Amino acid sequence: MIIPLLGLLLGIFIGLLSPFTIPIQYSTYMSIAILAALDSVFGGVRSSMENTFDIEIFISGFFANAALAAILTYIGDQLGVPIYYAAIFAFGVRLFQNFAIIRRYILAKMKKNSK
Amino acid sequence: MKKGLSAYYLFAIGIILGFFLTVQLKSDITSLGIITIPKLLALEKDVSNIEVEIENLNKSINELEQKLKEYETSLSESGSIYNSMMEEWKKIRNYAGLEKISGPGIIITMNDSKKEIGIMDNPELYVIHDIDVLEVVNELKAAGAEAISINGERILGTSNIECGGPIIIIDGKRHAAPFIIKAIGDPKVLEASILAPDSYIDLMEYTGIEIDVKKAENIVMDGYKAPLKLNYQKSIKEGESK
Repeated sequence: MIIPLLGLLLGIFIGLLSPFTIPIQYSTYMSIAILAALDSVFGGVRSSMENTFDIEIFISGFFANAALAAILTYIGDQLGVPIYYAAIFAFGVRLFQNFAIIRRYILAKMKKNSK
Repeated sequence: MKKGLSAYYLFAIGIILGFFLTVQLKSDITSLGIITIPKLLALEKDVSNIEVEIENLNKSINELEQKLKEYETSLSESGSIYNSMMEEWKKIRNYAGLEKISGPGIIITMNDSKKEIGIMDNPELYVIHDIDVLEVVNELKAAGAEAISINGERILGTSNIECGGPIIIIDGKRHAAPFIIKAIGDPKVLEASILAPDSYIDLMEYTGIEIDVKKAENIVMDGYKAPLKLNYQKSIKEGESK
């Protein structure tokens, strides 16, 4: 659990130092990318806790999910319909599910330790 | 071993996530939200309002440029802008109703009803009230009257017409019926609008209030005589803030 947090801190540090900013029309793509990354982090933490972590699934999941979300956002932009809500919804639901499972693992571990 | 490997990837994804987050936050993107049709219509309205404002400002630029030209011509002709300033000053005083003026217009004479009042009738309806005079004055203004006086009392933008029991009070002075309302403007337009069906005078005539409307070629009107007092307002340079 601590390793991704360290990565997060390092990423924030790099982000603060880097000169990049996002033009306003691409901000939805960026938020989708953030969601995809968040989803991957939670998914990765969960699978590593379950000892089912698979590099291929993890990497392909991250990029393919981000790509699909970006495509949905692009199509939605062209049609004038916010289709990227579908991606937000899917990522959001999975995020909470993964988080719930992680929580259960941590609680179970704490109970074991206290016994 | 598997667990150690997963840590690297999680670390990398954490870096990516943190980087994206900070870049997004740094970009200072104001939330656009979804643009719904009501929002779109409101924005369109805003745009058209601003366009109207721009047009008005352009108009005022033209007017000011014209004024500047006037000043320049008077400066080149007579060596000073005193004359054109004087003319403008006079115009403003006329507009404010401070000068004695003359011009075509109409004269309205209003008098209380001389009808026999029955027992069941409401005597209130047969005399002229402050509100009657006020309505007539407002109708004259709406018809484009440039100057209005009541019983010789010049009506300004700040004038008030109040009820004082059997009399009415105009700018603190008492006036009794008959009321002679003079208005300078286009006589035809003033008469037509004041006598139009459903106008205030048309309604008043049902109760027998005596009203006489006359067109006049040359009405002479005194300026406002009471001292001008400004206790609260101050001049400022900037435009009105909204």
